[in-house]
Amino acid sequence: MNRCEYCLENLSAYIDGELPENEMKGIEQHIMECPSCSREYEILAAIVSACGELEEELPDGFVSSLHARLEEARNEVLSKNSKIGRIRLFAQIAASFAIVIMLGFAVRMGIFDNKPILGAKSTQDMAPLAGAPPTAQYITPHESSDSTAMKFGISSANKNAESITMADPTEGISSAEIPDSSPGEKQGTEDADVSFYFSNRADLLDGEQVNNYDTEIVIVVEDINEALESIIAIDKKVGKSRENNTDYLQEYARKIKFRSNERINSVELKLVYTSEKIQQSFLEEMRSTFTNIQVESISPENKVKEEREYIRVIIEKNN
Amino acid sequence: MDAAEKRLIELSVGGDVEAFETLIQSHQKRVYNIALRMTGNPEDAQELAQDAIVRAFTSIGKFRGDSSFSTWLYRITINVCTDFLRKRNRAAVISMEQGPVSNESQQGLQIEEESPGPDELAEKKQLKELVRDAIESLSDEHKQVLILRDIMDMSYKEIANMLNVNEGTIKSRINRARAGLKKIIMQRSELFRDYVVKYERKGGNS
Repeated sequence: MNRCEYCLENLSAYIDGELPENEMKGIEQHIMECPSCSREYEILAAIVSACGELEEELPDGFVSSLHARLEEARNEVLSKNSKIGRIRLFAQIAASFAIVIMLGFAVRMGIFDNKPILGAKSTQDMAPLAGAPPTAQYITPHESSDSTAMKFGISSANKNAESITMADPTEGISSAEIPDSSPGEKQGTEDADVSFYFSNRADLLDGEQVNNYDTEIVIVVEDINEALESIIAIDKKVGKSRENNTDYLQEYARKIKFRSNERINSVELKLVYTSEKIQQSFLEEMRSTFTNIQVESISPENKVKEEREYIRVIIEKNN
Repeated sequence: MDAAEKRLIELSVGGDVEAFETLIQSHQKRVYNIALRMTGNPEDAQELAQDAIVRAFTSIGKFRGDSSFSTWLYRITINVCTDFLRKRNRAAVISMEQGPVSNESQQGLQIEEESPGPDELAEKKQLKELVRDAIESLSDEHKQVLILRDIMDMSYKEIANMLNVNEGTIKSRINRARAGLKKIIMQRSELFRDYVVKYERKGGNS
């Protein structure tokens, strides 16, 4: 990237004062030296400043008509808030079920077992898993920004591994998130990640469970790069050009190769398809390509009513 | 959250309308402005701003103080507006996100030839109107970040928290949103007609 490209890419953040000090200085210097970037800067700064002046006063009658509506809503507030105690109790019961299921899953995976199980080559292979107790993640209706009722505990089991997550296929490389390997932090970023698409859904506030993806796929592979390449090929085969998955995946693959000297044990992708049909063909291709694959789909009635289909793909390295 | 705010919230949970009104007093103008910029229309904006505030009132029992009350309220507002826009006919929306080439929006920035300087842009009033109208043509996602950044004056970090997206994403999204905004303004503005012609001849078919 040459100086001007770099400058233009960061111009907006420069105007907002959102760059580290040395980068701020670098851009300032460049703007002084480069007439074309300097002009760009002044045009953009004028637009930004005009944006900042758009605030308008409340229309007449706003407060009084609002008051009437709040009075109307009063009874709803009273009845809803008396229900909250019951919802909390339900959430706790649901959470205990989730833990039971997690334990069941852990036992099946051989986490508490010394015998090697199908798919694991030796007992040592399971050692990293044995060190970490399975955890259940659950959501009470009050904190449903990530409403996935439970996760398989895979990410916490992999506490020593690094994982890369990337939030948005349309955002390109700059959204790549490389969290530290500490489990607490990682959990946090993952939640933010998963909830990205639906964080702007109003109904999250009503305590309903909204699933953040329509389908979750977990595949276990020998080589994450190869798996990514296969997924890119599948996406190209089934996807349409309107969908940005290919760019996203290629960027991602490049990123991982770039980090090949590090140990990356799991990768999480989020793919978006414009229709259920394309999603189905994607799933079929995935099933025929990968042997160690688990697919979990959200039943149609629980599906997020969207034009687009969201697939979460977790690629786990078989160590 | 200070003690007074906490007390007002408790009272609101108990159905006290006046307490709730005190609680939202300093925020309702911003709620309205978010809705106004999201919808571009004062009638819808009033309706949606009130929807959002009523919704905050009826959900107040679920506010847990993880974020500040205002952040929570603004988030509800954005959600309400986003849902509304989704339902509305979206034929006119220019989506910068869906373009097949991801750096498309940056092309508007790659200008080397002479073009009108800031003097022409200095006609503030006209620019303000252009900007206001151009925001309407942006994708919802781009509108959102510009509203939060430029009207609400939130930092990238605050925006990232509100939208549950990481900061780097916000940075690039704001950059692209503004590039998109600039492109629209350039195309619409008489002032920049020559400029646009030049630009399109130069980089139009890549």
